[in-house]
Amino acid sequence: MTILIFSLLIWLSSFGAGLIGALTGLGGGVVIVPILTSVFGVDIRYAIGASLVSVIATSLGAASIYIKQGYTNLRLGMFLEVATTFGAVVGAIIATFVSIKFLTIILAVVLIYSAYIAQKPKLENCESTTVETPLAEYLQLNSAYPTADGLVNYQIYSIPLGFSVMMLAGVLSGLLGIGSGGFKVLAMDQIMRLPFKVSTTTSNFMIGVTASASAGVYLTRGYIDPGLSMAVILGVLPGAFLGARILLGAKTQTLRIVFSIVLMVMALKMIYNNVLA
Amino acid sequence: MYKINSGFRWSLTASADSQVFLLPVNQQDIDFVLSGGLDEQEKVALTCREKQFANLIANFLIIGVLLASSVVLFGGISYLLNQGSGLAEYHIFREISTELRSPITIVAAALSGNAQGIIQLGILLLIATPIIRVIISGLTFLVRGEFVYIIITSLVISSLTYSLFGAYY
Repeated sequence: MTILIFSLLIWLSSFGAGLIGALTGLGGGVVIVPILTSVFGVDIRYAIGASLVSVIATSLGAASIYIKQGYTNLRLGMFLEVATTFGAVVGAIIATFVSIKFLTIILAVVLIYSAYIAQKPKLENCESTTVETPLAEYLQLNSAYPTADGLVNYQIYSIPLGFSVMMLAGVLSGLLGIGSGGFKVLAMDQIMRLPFKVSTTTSNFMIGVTASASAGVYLTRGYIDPGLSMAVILGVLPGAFLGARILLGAKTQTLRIVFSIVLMVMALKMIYNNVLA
Repeated sequence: MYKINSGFRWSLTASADSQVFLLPVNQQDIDFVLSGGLDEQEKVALTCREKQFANLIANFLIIGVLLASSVVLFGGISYLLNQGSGLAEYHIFREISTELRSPITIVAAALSGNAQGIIQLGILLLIATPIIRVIISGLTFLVRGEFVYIIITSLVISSLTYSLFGAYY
């Protein structure tokens, strides 16, 4: 197959991945690597490199929109970035030493976990408790976000645990070339108990730097192929942009369930192809 | 608006078209207000500054991604025009030529018109944008003297610096 046709096909798949990623709030990275490796047969290292760079692109685009809308908690993001960037560098370095089988297994596990997270319905967090977190006060992390009824205040809890999970998310991001949206949501949504709109947008904001941290290592190791990455970036970016636009009105629960089934299938296929076969 | 009336006689000090509310205020807040804490103007200025900061970052991110993507697009078109008829061999892993691996040589390759170099330059810009964002926010914190966040930003920058330059061993 010629490069031109191949690039066009990749462009199309990336557009779809970006669209679905934005609609389900999980990002395209977790879909792109399996698509590139299973469907197109691309070497997993090139796939991870291309996916990583496209993740940066979508993060930048989406984050700017969400910041302006007032959902993103910048300080929380910056604080947690200490954990994620450190983890990302560690993860990227590990990636250059481990075997492809190992990478595939880890990726499959992450896929299955993301599939599980994807089909959970997102609930608004209506916490109203008087428990104080001095660390949050000190770092000026507590804030408010806009809703239909005006600004709603929220507090942040369990910061050390959240920080640690973020480090793990960073390692996975560096290792697998994904945004680790699933784990970031785990940390912020479940552990730190942020309202989900704040957790998804802040997570989005952080993904850019996290991916940059590992991308640097990938670049110097020669894992980022320009031709492949180009097609992925140029596909994911408009797809995600379109998805973010539609998201404002869409009912995404059915889509989420379909998405999680697809992820499961891909995870199983990856395991079968690379580990058992 | 409420008025604290400490007089013994109840006189109508509130104007006819305003209302008096009983707010469930706690002692801490009362102490804060009475001790001359943030007045209305300061509060407004604080949120304005935060909004300015947020806008600065958001605008920078948009410019960064658009600039980087344009370079990638330009390089991509050039690449496809020149090498589009070649065979796609991404299933074979060959480490990318060293020319396309480090920031300095990438810029050189791009300037000499190498299509892959141009794409790689766009990718480099993409990777650099969040890093520069961190630097911008760090400078803002420096100017404002927010010590904690200066430290936080420095930690992030050191991780990033190691990633781009220290991983060369």
